[in-house]
Amino acid sequence: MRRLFFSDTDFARLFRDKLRSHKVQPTSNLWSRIESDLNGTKKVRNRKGGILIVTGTIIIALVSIGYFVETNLKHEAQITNSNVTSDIINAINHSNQSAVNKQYPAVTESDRATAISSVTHISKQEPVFIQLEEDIGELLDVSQNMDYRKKPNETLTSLPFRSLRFNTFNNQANHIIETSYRQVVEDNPLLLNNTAPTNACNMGWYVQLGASYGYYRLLTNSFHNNPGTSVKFSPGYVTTFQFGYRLSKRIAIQTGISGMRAEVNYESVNKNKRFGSLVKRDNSIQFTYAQCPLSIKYNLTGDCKRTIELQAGYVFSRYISGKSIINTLTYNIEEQDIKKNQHAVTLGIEAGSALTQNLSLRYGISASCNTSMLTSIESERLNDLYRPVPMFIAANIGLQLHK
Amino acid sequence: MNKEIAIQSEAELIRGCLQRERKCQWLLYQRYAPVLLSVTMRYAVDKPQAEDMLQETFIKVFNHIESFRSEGSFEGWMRRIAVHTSIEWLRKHQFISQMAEIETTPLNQFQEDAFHKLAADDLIRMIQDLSPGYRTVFNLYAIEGYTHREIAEMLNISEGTSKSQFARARYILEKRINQSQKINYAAAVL
Repeated sequence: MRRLFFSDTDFARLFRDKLRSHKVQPTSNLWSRIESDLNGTKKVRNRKGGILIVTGTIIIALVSIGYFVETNLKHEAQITNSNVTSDIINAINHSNQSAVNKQYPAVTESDRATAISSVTHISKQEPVFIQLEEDIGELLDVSQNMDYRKKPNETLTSLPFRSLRFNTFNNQANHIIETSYRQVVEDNPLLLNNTAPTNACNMGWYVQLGASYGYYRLLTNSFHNNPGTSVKFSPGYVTTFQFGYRLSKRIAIQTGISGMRAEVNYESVNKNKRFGSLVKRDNSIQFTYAQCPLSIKYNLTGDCKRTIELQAGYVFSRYISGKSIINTLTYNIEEQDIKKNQHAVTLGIEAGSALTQNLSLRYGISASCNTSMLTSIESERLNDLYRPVPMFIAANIGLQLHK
Repeated sequence: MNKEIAIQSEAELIRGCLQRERKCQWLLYQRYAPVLLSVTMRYAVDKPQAEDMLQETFIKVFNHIESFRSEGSFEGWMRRIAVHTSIEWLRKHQFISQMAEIETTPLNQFQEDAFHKLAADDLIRMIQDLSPGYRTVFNLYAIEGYTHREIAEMLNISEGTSKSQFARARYILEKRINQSQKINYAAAVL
C-alpha cells in the first residue's frame, strides 16, 4: 500500500537499503597518491580539481571586479578583456568542455553533477532556455538541476542571501550555460548560523513607516470635588518612521522618530456658588509632541511570512507646541504650564504579512501608559484635583521595508 | 587482477597489511575502495573531495590496522574510519562549524514511487547538494544508523539540533525526490 507519510526510521531505511551496497570506482591515480603518502612523499592531490577550484576562484574574482567572460557554443571560453593576464586565460581555458570530457569520459548523472559544480563559465548569453529548447533531454537535465535553485522564494522564511552560480550543461551538440543568481533557500545552515545578517526571518535592518490612530483613556481621575466637569478625549494621531535591526530570528530592536498630535476636550461646569451661577465652559487642548520610541520585539511564530510579534518599549516624548481653545477663544498654552518631557512605557502586539520578498504589511495594537503631560495644565483649569494617568490605545498600521 | 584479489582471503590481507606489505595494501585498497568511496561521496560535495577523504581514510587504515581486533566486521571497522575521517575533514576545512536548531520544518508528502525510480547515484547527488550540516547529520542518522544522541556527541551539538537538522534534510530530500517524479512525468508527456 502506498504511504504518503513515513516515520524517520522508515525514511532512513529506504535510503540505507539503497545506498548500503552502492559502490563508486575511484579514479586511477588515487592509489598512487595513497602510496606516496605511505612512503612519506605526498603527491599534489587532485591536480585537475585544483585547477578547477583555482579557475572557479579566478572567475568569481573576475566577476567581482567587473570583467566579463564570453563563452561561445563551441565549448571554448574566451576572455574579451585584454587586461586579463595570460595565466588567467590559461586557467579558464583549462576548464573548458574538453577538460570536462577528459575528466569525465562517461558522463553519468553523478559525474555530470560533479562537472557542473566544478567547471564554471560565465556567460553574457541571456536566453538559456532558448538554447535548451533545442534539446529536450538537455532541458530535463537542466530542469532537474535548476528546479530548486531557480525557484523564487516561497516565503520570507527563505534566506535573503543570494549567491552567484554558474553551471554548464553539455552534450555533443550544445554547450549550455546557466548563469543565475542562486537563492539560498533552505539548504545552507552554515550561512544561517554563521552570517549574522542572513536569516530566515530577514535578519538585518528594516525600516517601518506607519501611522497610529488612537484614543486617550484615563486610568484614574478624580472629579469628586468638581462634579460638573466631564472630560472627553479625542483621537490622537501618530506618524512614525522607525528603523530596526533583527538580532536573531525572533528578536528585533527598533527605534526611530514619531510625531504625535493629540487633543483633549473637556467641558467644565463650575458649580462654585460664590459666583452665584453655573459657568459652563468647553475646553480643548491641542498639543504636538515629538517622540523617540525604543522597543524590543519578540517574534512568537518564528515565521516571517505571517508573523506575530510582542512588543515592549519605552517612548520619550518632547513637547513641541500646544494651544488651548476655550469657548472658541484660542490662545497658546504658556510653556510653563506644560510638562516638557513625557515618559511612557508601551506594550503591543503586531502582526505582519509579507507582501513581497522585501516588503511587509504590519498592523497591530499598542497601549502606552504615560507620565501625565497634562497635570500642570489641568492644575490651572481644574484646581489641581485632576491627576490623570493617561493611556493611549492605538491601532497601528504600517509598511516595513526590510533586507 | 580481480582474480588475485579474490584469491587472498580477508584475514590474509589483514595479516599482510600488518606486515606493511605493499601488495596486500594494494589488494585491500582494490577490494574496499569502491565501497568506502561510496561512503565518503555522501559526505563530500563532489568526487575529488570524496577521494581526498578516502585517501586519508586508507592512510589511517594502514597505519592503525593493528588496532582492529578481529571481533567485528573489518568492512564495518573501515566504514567507521571513513565516516569519522569525513567528518574530521569537513570540520578541518570548516564546512561544519556551527549548527543551530531549526525552529520548524513543514511536512512533505513523500512519493515512495519516485524514490524507487531513482538510481543510487541520483540519491547521492541529492545528498551532496545538501549543505554540509544537513548532509552530515542525515548520513549519520539515516545511513550509518547512529542515534541523535550519538550524533550530538559526535558533532558537539545538541540532540535537538541533530533532530531538526535531520528533519530539514529530510524535507529537502523529499521535495527533490517529488520534483524528480514531476520531471520524469514531464519527460514522458513530451
